[in-house]
Amino acid sequence: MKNIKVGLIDYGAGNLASVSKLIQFLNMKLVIINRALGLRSVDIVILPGVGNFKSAIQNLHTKNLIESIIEFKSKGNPIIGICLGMQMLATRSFESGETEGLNFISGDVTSIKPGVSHIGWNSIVTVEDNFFKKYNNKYFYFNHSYFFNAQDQHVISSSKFKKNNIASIIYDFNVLGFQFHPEKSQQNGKEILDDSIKFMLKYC
Amino acid sequence: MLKKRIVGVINVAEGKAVQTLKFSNKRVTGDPLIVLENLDRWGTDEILIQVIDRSKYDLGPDFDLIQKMKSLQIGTPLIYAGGVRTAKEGAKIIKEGFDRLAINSMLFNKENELQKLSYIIGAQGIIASLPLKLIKDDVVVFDYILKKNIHLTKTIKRLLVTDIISEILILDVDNDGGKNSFNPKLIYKFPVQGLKLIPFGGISDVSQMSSLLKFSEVSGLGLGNVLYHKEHQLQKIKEYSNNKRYLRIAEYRK
Repeated sequence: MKNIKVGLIDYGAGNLASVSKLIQFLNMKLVIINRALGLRSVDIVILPGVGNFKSAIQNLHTKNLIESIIEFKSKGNPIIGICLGMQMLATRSFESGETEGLNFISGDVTSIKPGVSHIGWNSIVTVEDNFFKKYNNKYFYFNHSYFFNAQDQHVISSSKFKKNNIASIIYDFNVLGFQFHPEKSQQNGKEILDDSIKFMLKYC
Repeated sequence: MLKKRIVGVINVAEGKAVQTLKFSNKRVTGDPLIVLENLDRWGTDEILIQVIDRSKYDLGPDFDLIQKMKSLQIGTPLIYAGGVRTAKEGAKIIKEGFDRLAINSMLFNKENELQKLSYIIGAQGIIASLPLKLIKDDVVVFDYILKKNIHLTKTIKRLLVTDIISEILILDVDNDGGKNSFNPKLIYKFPVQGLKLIPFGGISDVSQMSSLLKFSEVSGLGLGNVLYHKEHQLQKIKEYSNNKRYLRIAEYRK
């Protein structure tokens, strides 16, 4: 697949620099998107994110990006959410009060436990017979305090943390989400992002 | 299963990687960018860039260094410490490619800015950095700017247990730069219980690391020069039999 154009949404929340570097390392063309028109020129969109759900959604509204992202997705184009970006794919979040998400995959985002954060390298356990099974039991870097309660049919892999099974990868047709940071998960992260982008473009 | 972490610590002063001794003497050891690339290549779990000459002179974060690090292709989680004064500065550092911040001065002087920062980047993005000493069996904080010891106030204790900070980096001042000398009393006598701690300072021996990793409060270990003077040291630490249950296998970057 040559000349893949990856749109990276810049809405002021998060670690754009690292995801940008990884996309370029994978020999894909990076397009930074901070206004609606930018979505027309790309093959796939990545929604990165670090921080607060409420603030991130507000930023998307401020930049008039919500409608364009919804339109991009409704046309069958692929979207990948990373960490907070994955949580924004949900129906709603209860971080700093209730806020509606993009509702691309149904489910709520709730606190793991007050005062508890899931930080560090954790293994993912994949559901059998899916595209990601080669990453079963491999380690990725997590850094979050809220998690996505998605329905089982959308959970591709989970990770055990305290008494919770955290959804680490979620998927529904043209929407994919990683709770961990592939851009900070060293070799495993590079491979999974590369594989995922190509998978999404092939099958969506 | 979530593993504990080896945090490679790069102390920086005047743009150079330095080794410190008891929080005072400094010895230049190299180029922080090269050390960073090496720690990334060797598979460190997190890398802490600790710029030690910013807060003292109210210089703010070292954005020059941050920009240089941004230009490298680093696939390892990065933590920045040194001179962060406001939520805006902290958010900017995150946008430039860092994942977490270790803060000290804000904890003591700017609670409002700390609250704002936590709202923007999440509690998981904030580590409280506390240089500590043991004085007559009491754990006290060493104010390295005023060079005096202070007890943790009720305000600070309250901040440590609220949802604005995720972990605490505890630096053993008296054993900083020492060999196999980190004092474990700083862990079990820490004035606030139930928090996640990252010990740093005087940790050099693999069996010492095993002992420290056994503490349930310890979520990771900060290691300085012991890591970056020997190419395969990180792998040795991780492959040491008593450490395997706690640590992820080190993977060299391909």
